[in-house]
Amino acid sequence: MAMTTKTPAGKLLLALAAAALGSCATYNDQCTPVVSDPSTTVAILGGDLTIARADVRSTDQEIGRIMADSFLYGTADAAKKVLQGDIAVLNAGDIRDDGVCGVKLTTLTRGTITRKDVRTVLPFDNALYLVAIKLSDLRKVLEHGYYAAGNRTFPPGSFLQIAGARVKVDCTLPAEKIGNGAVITEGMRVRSIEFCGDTNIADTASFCSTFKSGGNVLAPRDVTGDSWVAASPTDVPPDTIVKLVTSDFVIGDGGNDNFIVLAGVKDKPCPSKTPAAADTPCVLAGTELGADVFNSVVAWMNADSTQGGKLVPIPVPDGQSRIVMSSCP
Amino acid sequence: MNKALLAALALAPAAASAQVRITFLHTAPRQARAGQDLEIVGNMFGAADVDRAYVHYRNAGDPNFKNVELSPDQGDIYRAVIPGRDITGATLEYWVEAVDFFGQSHEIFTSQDRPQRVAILGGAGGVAQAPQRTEVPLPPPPRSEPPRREAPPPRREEPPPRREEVPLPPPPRIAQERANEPPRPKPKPRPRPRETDVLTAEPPPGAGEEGGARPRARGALADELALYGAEDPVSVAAGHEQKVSEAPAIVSSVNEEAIRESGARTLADVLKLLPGFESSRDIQGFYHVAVRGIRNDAEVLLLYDGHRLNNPYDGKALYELPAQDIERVEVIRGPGSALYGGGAFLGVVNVVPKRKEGVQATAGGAWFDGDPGSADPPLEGEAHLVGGQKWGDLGVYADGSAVATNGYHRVISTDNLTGTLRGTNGPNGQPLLGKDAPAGYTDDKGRLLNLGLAAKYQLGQGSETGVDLRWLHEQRAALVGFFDTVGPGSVLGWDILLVGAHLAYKIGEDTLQLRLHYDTQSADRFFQLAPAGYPTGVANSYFQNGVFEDFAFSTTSLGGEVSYDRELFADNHLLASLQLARESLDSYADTTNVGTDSSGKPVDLGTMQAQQFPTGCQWQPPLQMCGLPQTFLQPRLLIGALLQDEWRVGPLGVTAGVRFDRYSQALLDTSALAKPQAAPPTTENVGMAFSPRLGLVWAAAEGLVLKGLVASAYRPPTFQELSDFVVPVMSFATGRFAGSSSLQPVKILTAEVGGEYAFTTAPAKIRLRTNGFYQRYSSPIVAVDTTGNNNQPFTNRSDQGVHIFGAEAEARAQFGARYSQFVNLSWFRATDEAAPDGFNYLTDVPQYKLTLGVVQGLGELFDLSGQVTLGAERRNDSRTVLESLRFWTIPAYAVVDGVLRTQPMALAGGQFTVGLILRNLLGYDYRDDVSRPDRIPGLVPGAPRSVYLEAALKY
Repeated sequence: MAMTTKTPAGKLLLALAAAALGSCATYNDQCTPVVSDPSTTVAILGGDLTIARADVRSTDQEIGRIMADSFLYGTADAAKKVLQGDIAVLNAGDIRDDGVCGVKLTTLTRGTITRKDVRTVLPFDNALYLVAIKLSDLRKVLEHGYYAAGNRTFPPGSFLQIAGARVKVDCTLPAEKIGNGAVITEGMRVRSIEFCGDTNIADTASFCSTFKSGGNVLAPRDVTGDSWVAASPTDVPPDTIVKLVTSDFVIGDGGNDNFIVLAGVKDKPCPSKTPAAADTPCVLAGTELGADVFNSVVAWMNADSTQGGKLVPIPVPDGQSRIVMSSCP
Repeated sequence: MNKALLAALALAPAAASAQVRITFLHTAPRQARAGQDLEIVGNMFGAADVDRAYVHYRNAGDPNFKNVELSPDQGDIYRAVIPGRDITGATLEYWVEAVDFFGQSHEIFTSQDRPQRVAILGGAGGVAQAPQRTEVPLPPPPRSEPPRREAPPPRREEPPPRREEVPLPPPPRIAQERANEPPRPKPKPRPRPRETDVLTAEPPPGAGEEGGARPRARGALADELALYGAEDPVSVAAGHEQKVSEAPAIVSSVNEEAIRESGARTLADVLKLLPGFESSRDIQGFYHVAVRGIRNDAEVLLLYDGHRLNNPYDGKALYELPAQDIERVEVIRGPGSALYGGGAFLGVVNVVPKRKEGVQATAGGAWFDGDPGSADPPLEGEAHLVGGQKWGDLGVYADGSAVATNGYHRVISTDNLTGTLRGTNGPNGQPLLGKDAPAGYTDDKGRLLNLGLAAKYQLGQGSETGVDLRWLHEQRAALVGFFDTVGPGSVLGWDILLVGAHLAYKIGEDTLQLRLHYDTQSADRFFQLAPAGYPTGVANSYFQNGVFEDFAFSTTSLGGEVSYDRELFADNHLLASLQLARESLDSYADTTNVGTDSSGKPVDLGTMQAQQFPTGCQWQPPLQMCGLPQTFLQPRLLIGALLQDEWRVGPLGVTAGVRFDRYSQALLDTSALAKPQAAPPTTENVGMAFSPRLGLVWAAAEGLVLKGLVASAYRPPTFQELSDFVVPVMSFATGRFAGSSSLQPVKILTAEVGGEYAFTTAPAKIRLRTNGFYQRYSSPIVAVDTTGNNNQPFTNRSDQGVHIFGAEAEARAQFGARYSQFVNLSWFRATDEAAPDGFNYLTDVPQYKLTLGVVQGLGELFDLSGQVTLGAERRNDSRTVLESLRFWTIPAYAVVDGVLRTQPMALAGGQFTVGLILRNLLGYDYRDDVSRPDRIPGLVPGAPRSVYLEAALKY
């Protein structure tokens, strides 16, 4: 975007001025993201990770899984060594391939990952919140997350990378339509949500590496209506309250990225630790958690890469699939 | 060059009693015309001591002088008119006398023995035309014998006049030669001038000698004044007029002549020439002024004829005031809260409108270069009229300006909708934007009216009362658009009404002053966010005329100030002042044509045109977007009390003062308004500030003045920063901050040292000024996007401030009335404590700026003037990763402006001038930053080269 002088005389003038006064001006390094200890190694990647916008905003991606896992890790009860969230969602718009200095960064290459690398990919200073939400509302959140699943041409930032659960999305079914702050058409693409139920913080190899058969499974919706159908004994009622971990962006004023169900929830604390379904969604814990996106990701990647006090490569790919899409573009 | 070209500045310290000191800063007219009135104008210092003043004149050879009264005009400017019927000979001689309240007479400009001499064209002496420059006799050294016209003295060989050679006025022997005048007391012998008068204490070289005064370019005061305030009086620093060098602040002053010579078209242009000041335009076309590296609308106080122009809502001020309406611009670089209260934070700009007797009419037009492709021709037309008339003690003054422009057109290649529009068909099935078409063009179309009326009445004994009225009206397009898209249909209206009254009442040596003001501002900002045919998101549904948002508000400020200036003892003045004001947000609405139907689907609410928006709310809860904000504002009450003492002890001037301010404002929670059984809850936003100042001005040696200044300042949060207004999230409503009702005032502490050295050397009079400063913000109100969230709240940062240090320097060489050069340089470094090292420099204002200017007479008819302004590269602040991500860089700029103007020519009994103004001669592509450089990568294009032609007629 640099402009050029229009005339030789202008260039001459500027050259003279620069020679005389250039040393008077001091600038920040625009090619380094703002982070302390930028060269400190966080983790070692065992393979390349794509962070390209079209990838992370349209399909399940490993970078998304790592970051969503870190949401659970960052908000864990450190004293009790247990996770507090049942599911974490990360809006893919948080993951940036803009790079710095206008040079796009679409891949994190295998090898060491520094704090600078993480900060380049995660430029936003968002805090993490623990939100109580009933399953039927969570489904609406996910419907919004996957209304454009698989769309690589106009991939929305609201696409959700998740942890703690597996979601099945059927793109042959109607997608949510939203217009200027209101839902026009309810989405019906989310066919099931399976929770892994893994709460042990010590199980850092990978949260929910397998979805146990005994895990909670949310049954598919009836495509003809808004009722839930019992598909198996493990189904849970739609007003069951689960604990969602996400960033304050998603639950901010007005519902950034058009997560209408979560609009303004950031400023709505739960009346108790076990709120009634009617009081949800509400905040169980917010800034008092002291967790934010960047530091949680750094901590989680470091933990995931550390074995016996040494850094070892994080397996890439990890072989998981948390967003199972069918018939999507 | 030689000393004959030195300024014939004649500021003669007056004869005075122990406590009376009167001086008259005046430039002799270059010539007079037989039978035509001749105006004598100048600045009277010590005017408070003047009972009456006279200009004594005669045709050379006449035994006796006649006299006309020299009357106060505006501030300390005094004027007199020598009747044309008395101008008949070859040479006119005159001198100026003031009589103080003790009846003592003072020769304040030349003397009866050695009067100023002015050649008369067309008079009895047969002078038919102005003398050629080469024929101008040059003045000899002081005390030398008058040279003869036919024998011009040598030039460079002449030694410069030395101070010790300055002749003192002769002993008074006035009365015996004043047979035709009423008897007056004899003036006392004039005391030696004070050290601080060193430069101005010299009588004009050759004054009173045959042809000794070099022909002057213009007969106005402005001729000899520095391009920006070499010796202009300023009132902005201490509440009364004083010389720049004596002001207890870092000040500059730009007078009318300097403004004309610079080719500046607006106040923003004028400020850009000053060290420490920088102006820029944003994507909506608003001007923003930065002082010493920080750009914040609410932190630079703009006063227009004593009225605040910063509106209480968002602090914005109308910096596009036409330069032709301005008599003088005075600025303080640094805090001014000790005198002005809130908002006088980074700096103060005081604009003095023209108040002149007679009539001055100016008309002109302009053409702008730019990019082809836009339909409107890039032309501008403007007219300005200034007039005044005195009837005895009553003076009535009026000024008016009208500017209509299409402005410049520059291409905006892409914006946030470009990609969408190219891939989307409108109602007619055609793409909304062609494949290769740019997103749009800058749209600078607009019109501006500025109408002022004032009346002053002299009550006698130095007392005065007056009223003033002004209406400013602007309607223009958004230069680019609202935030990140081009909005060619945007219309931004701004109306300002200023009403004031004042009384200055002399009680012995003391002065009681009373000022009242009633100021209203209303703004209606209609933005086009998306073009006609933009789809609603529902199949086959479109916004027929595009997506609009209209934001309107009005504010009122009503208040008064009473002050008492008491002379405690010789050279010691105590000023006590009390100020009360009420600022209110009278109306507020934010409406859009984006609505939802009963099923929640978006709809176009109608085919609305600009300025025809329906009132009321168009949004459904909870996404309320219009009407009053969720928490709206009750009127703010402000009270301020000032105590300031000025004491001159020999060469040392001490100014010490402190001001206490308190404001309070209730914020009403409108969410409770639906419950009529209970009064709506309110919260109270209260702020207090002590703003002390200490200024030392030391006339350390001949021509050398040193200053040491410490002061603090504050500003209250703006209404916008306070109001809890949250807009819904939609793609058209990005980039906004939400108010916070708990904000506290921002404060700044400043320490400055400065110096001025003025001296005369062949062939010029030189004035050097420099200063260094250190400033620290505390509890700044920040609006830094760190999360990407919409509606991030404004917050006070309680523990982390901003440091700024830097220096400014000015130099000016005056070779004569039409020959001068100046240079100024400013530099700063600003760091934000909240950002990590290496990321904490604030660099969105050029860190250094260099301006070089010249005024050069071309023969007898033309003057050439102009300047080169060089500014350093700008980069966005990178305090957060997000700021880094949205980085921009604006290269250093070089702007060259030139003015070619004729000397005044006789036309229809008046003085006629024509000027050709070339701005941005190099066509250098300087730009300003946009809200989202990642969406509008070309930034905001600045004005290209432009040509103005204007003609002025003065009676």
